[in-house]
Amino acid sequence: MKKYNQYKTTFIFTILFVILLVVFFLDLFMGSISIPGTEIIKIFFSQESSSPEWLSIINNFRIPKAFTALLAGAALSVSGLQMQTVFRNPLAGPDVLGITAGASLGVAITVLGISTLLPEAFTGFSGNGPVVIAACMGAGFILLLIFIVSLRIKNVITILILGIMFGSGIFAVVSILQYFSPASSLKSFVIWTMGSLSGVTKSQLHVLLPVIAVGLFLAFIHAKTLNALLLGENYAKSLGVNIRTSRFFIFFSTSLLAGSITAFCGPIGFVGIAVPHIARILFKTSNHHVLIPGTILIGAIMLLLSDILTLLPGNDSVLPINSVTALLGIPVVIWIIIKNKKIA
Amino acid sequence: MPELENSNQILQLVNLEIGFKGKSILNNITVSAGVHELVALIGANGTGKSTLLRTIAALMKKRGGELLINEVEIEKYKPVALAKQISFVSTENVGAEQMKVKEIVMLGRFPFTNWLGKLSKEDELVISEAMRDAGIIHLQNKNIFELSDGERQRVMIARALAQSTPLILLDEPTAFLDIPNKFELFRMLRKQTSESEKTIIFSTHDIELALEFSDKIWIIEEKNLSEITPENLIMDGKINTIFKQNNLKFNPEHWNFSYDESYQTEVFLEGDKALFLLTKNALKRNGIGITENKNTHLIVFIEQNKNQIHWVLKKENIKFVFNSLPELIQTLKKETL
Repeated sequence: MKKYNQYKTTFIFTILFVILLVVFFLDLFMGSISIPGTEIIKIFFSQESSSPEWLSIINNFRIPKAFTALLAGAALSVSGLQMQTVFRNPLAGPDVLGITAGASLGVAITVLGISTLLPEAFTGFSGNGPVVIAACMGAGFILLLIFIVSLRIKNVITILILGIMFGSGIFAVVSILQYFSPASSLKSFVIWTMGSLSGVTKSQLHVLLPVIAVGLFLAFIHAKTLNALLLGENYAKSLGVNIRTSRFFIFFSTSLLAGSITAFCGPIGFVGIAVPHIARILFKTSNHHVLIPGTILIGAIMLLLSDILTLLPGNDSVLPINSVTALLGIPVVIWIIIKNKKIA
Repeated sequence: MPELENSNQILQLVNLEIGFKGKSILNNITVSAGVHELVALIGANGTGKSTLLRTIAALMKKRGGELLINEVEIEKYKPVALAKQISFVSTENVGAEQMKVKEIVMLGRFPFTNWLGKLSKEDELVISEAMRDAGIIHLQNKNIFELSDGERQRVMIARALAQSTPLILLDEPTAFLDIPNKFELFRMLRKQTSESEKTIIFSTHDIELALEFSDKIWIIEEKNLSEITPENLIMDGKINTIFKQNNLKFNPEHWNFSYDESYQTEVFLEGDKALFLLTKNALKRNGIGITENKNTHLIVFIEQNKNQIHWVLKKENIKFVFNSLPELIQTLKKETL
């Protein structure tokens, strides 16, 4: 029985890995300019191409975008998994701690506030560098608040409610900022809220990658603790878990993962809630040693797939990534609620 | 030989004070528990049973006094070291989506495995033994949500057994169980303490069962915890002080609590033991008391010949014979008026 389960798990991992490779290359293949598949593979592995234009498109646009999708999917899914376990709530996601809201506030202040008050100083605002920094600062600020709260408040549900309250409060402030903003800056903010994978440049990827790596590493080393936390904090404590430190590191990991992705790509919804459930159903386990690598693969596949779907209208029009992930994720969430009456 | 005696005590509480939110619930708790002991913690609702167990499990901080585990103060233990001494089972509902029985029991090995949670051959052995002892081995691949309350309780106990701690604490383990499951559970706890070097402390409201199965009773009454054997508890009559306000009295003869009422009508009842108890219960339910006084004006004899049962009521030397209990009760009820 045990052997059989192990083989099955290995088999699912292998299949998922193959699917990941397929959607990754499919994502490189998709775009307004059609480039032959053989050329893409040649560029990816040897950095050579018959056309310098193709080389540039693949190297500077499609590869960074595909890697961003891969990282974002993995990061958001793992942070969602951690939040669902820590809060013992199947509908928790990376945004429950108010991290997304914090990032939004940072971006809103930069894009709406500063550009409105000091339009002259803002003329140089073209790249997304300031937006990323602002989002990071916003997310970091909320995190700091959550950390302080989590050290003082014992009950994890209270923290959940506070996170949601922080989030709602911040969105109220953002709405006020939006109300008083000129149309032009309002549009750039709204576009940010729709999410985008293509804004991340190659050099920014060098920042994003290590941050995500640290976040995922922290999640990995807390897999055992997360398993114990499935029984609730009292039981976890009686099994020898140091609740405060592990809660700190799990929140820290979630913040790095969700905060950095939101900063670079905007708030991408539903991946974080839906993917952990898909992983649990697929692997038929709640063991985080399996679920963490599982959600990484499924999350990456799901976001790459979403990115491919954004290009479906063809030619130059691209759908916002957030709408695609929502349309893919919502049926999953609804299915979970209906199927697991005992949980919902 | 006080030293030798001490070394057998896994848990010693000396002048312990417990409570939370700045309020003291119980103080001056001085009791101990040794190996092979099954200890029942009893007392009315809200007297601090759960608080005491949670304090011993280090889920709550003590307010004062000493709490020694193996003669070492509890606060000196690191979390993992303490998890190797004490396991805890509460009534809290646990489990997540797709969580299997075996996965929960496996968590009992948490303090013994490395950061990957890799189980050794020995760990696997302990896990299957714990599942067998708790009688859940046939459920191991089931999802926790598919189980009944009794089964779920046993899963959590199996997890505590897998933790292989010398001390196991159970907070109201019989709370949601039906009668057969309660007996099953008590027999299992009894077996654990007598066959292995374990100490089990549990709180319960099933006092009758606790008296039957436990070695020691920790009883909380009037903000005071004392240690007593079940036999002394009954012989001293101390047991009747637990629910004094509620007029409940313990009858050693029937091994249960019953409402201590005063009745307007009382009869002297005589008959075969089983029929006596049946009749007594039926009469009491209908507001008719039983007296030990033979000289009362109402006397009931239960007569049994062949398969016929008759209740003979003697009232001031007049005899009435009834073929059924309801008839007797109806007549006696008229006496009340």
